[in-house]
Amino acid sequence: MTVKTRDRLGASLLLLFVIVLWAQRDYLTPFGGIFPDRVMIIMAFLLVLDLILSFTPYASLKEKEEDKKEEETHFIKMVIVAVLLLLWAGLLRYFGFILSSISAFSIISWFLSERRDLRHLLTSVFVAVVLTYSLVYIFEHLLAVPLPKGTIYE
Amino acid sequence: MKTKVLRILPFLLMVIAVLVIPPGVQAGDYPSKPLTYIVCFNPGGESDLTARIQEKALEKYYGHDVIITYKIGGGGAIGWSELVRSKPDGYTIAGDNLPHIILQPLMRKNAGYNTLDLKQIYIFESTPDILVVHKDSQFKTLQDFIKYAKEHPGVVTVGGSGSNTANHLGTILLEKAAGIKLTYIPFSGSGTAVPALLGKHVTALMTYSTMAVRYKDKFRPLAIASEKRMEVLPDVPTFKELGYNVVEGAYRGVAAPPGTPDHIVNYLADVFDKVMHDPEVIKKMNENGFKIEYMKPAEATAFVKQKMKQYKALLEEMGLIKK
Amino acid sequence: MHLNSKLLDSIEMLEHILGGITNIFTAKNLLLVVAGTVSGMVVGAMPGLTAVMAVALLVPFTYTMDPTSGLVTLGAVYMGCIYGGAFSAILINTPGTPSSIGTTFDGYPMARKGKGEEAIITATIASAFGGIVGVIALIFLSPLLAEVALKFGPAEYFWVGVFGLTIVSSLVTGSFLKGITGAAFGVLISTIGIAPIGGDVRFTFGIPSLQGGVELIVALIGLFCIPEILKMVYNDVKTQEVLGYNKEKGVMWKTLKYVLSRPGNLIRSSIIGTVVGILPGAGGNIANLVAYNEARRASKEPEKFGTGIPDGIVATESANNAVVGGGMIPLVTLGIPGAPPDAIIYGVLMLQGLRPGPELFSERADITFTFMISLGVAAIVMVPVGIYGGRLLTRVVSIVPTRFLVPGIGIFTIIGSYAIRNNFTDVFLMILFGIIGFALRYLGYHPAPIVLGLILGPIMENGLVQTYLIGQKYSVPWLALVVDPLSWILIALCIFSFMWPYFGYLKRFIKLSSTNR
Repeated sequence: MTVKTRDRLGASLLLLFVIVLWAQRDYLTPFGGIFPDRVMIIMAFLLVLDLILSFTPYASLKEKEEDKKEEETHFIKMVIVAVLLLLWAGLLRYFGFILSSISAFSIISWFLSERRDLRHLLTSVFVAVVLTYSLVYIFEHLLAVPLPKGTIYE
Repeated sequence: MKTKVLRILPFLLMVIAVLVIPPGVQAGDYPSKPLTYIVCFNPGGESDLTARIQEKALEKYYGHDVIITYKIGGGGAIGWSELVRSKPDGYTIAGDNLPHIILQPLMRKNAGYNTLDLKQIYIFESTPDILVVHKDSQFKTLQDFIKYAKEHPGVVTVGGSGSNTANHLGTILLEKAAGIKLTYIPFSGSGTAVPALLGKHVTALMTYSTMAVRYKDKFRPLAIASEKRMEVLPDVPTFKELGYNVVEGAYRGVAAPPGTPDHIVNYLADVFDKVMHDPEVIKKMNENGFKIEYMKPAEATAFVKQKMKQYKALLEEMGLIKK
Repeated sequence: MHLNSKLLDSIEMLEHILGGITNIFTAKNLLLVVAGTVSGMVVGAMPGLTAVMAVALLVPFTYTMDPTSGLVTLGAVYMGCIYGGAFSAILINTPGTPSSIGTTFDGYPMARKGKGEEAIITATIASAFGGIVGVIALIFLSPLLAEVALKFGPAEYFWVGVFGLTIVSSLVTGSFLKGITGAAFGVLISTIGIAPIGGDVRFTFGIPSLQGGVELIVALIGLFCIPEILKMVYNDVKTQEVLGYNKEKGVMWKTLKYVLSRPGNLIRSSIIGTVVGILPGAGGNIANLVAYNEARRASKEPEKFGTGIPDGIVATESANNAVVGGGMIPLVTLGIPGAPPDAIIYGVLMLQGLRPGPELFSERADITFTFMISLGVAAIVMVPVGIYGGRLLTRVVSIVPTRFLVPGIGIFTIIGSYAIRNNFTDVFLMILFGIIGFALRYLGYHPAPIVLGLILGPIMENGLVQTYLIGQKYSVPWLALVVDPLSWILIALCIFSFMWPYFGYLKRFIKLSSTNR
């Protein structure tokens, strides 16, 4: 992605966020909106300015300066890890800390191995189990920090 | 390769077994498990302070451990909406707070709970509103204060803890009773308002009795919004004595999730009754400027209902809620 | 009379300091300092794991501790982490934390020349020295500043917020426009939930649990930790080769003598670190580069910098550790984090019911002074740990493969975001923030301004609306924002920091036009 497209994409997405918030404006008192309304207006102004700048010669100047050669990247791999992390967070409520962490840790660790074979699966599960149980021991027993139990056990 | 797998297999099976077998659920008479006591406000605030004072006595009379946890946010709403969704087995209770539990459902589209969802167990304390000024202030009495406010409408600023709190309502009631116009400045929490008066950025504070006790040597209390004078502040007259009908303050108690069996609620009410009669607890509560209340479930519920009517009328008058 | 009260104040402060020293030298607190320093060093030595991350990942350990123990532990983690970054900078040529970027310039060439141990010892001495200078500034400056803070009314707090946002936007890398936009984004996120004044429910997307707003620590963990691990996957980070080093006899004393024989560099860099620390939002990543440049400018042999001389390491490592103490100064007095990791310490202060300001130096003085002194103790503890355990540490750290590191960090972020208020929505929000943070960073928006916006948002909102209310007595209520002379000073500072990025252009322009002539 070029600097120009990044600029435009970023500004558009943030502008969308501001619009979504603006659509939710529903203040009961005259005070609730004083601050956020002004911030939204300022932010929208800055974003529009950024968008306009990306169409001027100034942007192509910047492009020459900053456009380095792209390194080899792994976009799909990253998206999968992000989704796995979201699943981990989402399943926490139902399966509890122990089960969800062991499975999520094992899957992510196995997925990131150089070779996805049985040996790497076993080491992944092993590390996941040891780490999860030690953390449960430290937090629940030593520090008295409660971790989620999971609703499926109730 | 295969033998390696075989060697690890028993271990794996064990792990799976540990994971799948649910933690044992014990049946038996109430109470047989630790009690979870949710505090819905920041540590160091009045709710937390009370829970910490009660903790020891509570464990003694309850007979099992008491676990104090925090679910903070939304002026208490996060904790209370969590409570109404908890299992009504009597092992989860939360501290609750008037007028918050009444005003939030009235003023928010979806506060996450209804006032009467919270099953009142016991109301154990109140902190009356108290009007204080800085020690160096030109105002020596409430009369001075009101006289000045009459001559300068809107110039006198009164700080307090948040919007739609007992402090806010107390200020409004005073405005009405004395026929004056004040400017109420909300701060986030009673503690945050204190530096504002110390630095003289506001004229006065409408705060809780606890703060007046804690900052005795820096602030001058003008009047207290209780029915009778408080023992820890014997020299502070009530608004009523001075001819203004202002009685307002925060009440705190504990509540259980809706559907909690009555015998459990009554059992817990008895436990809290004993806690609040404990000499050690009484001593600490008084030292900190709390006024102890003894309202059992029926009485507490009736009190909440009565306050609901009163606040609703007041808010409608102020135009803050639609009829 | 006036003198008398000053004297009384000094005596009181001396009492607090002594009290802090006695508090810290208990078995429990000393143990926590050592444990915190070592854990900080471990995380700091891992390339890509920053000091903010170290503090964010280890914050759940302190949830159930009493305020003193919790703060002491996190302070030590922070101090240790900044120092730990030097190991990977010197031995792998990858800064362990951005605060050690400058350390690679001379550290790695030294290690290549076989002077690894000398480089490590230099970094150790400089770090400890810088750390202690920062802490001394913290102990003696902040009580004074806290008194001044009492004079700050709502209008002043609003302007302090504006100042913080403009300065961080102009200091972070990338465009100023993007910096200030990111800050506005953070401010907007902070307005989610109940309005502090008025009590309106805002921007909750219909979700009741958003009434409580976005918990600061949850957003911090998400914004600082998740993007890092996603980046590891995205760039497919491989573990690097570590340069070994051998123990030599006498190197220790030789190095110590060399470093201390040139106190100018040490003191100058420590002061730079402290001052950069005090500036809101600017942390070790900026301080170490500024100090490096200044050291080169002041040196008699500037051409030797970058070839592997100890002076470069002295500059960067003393500056970045001085940031630790310096950055706490605005934190404990005004509630404004001086450097990004302080943002998390701020969250912990809030969690423990400790409000920044004069109260921390009167009613809560026992906690505050113990915490401040513990930072100094941590700086001292680093010396033996680093010199004797450093080799083992780098060995262990450099063999942790990415496939364990990624889910391993993940598990800590999940504990940290859940346990803070036992809320499942928070965990989900944390990951979501992380993904958004990663995307925004890719699109050119740095997380530091966003985070500062998150923290300063409520301060600014309270200040602005309270000022508006106080201003009801004027015909134009907003006049109250500018009536106080104290506000004028702050407004001048805002304008200055707002113009700052353009000074660079101006300087370049003048230079350009003069060389053209």
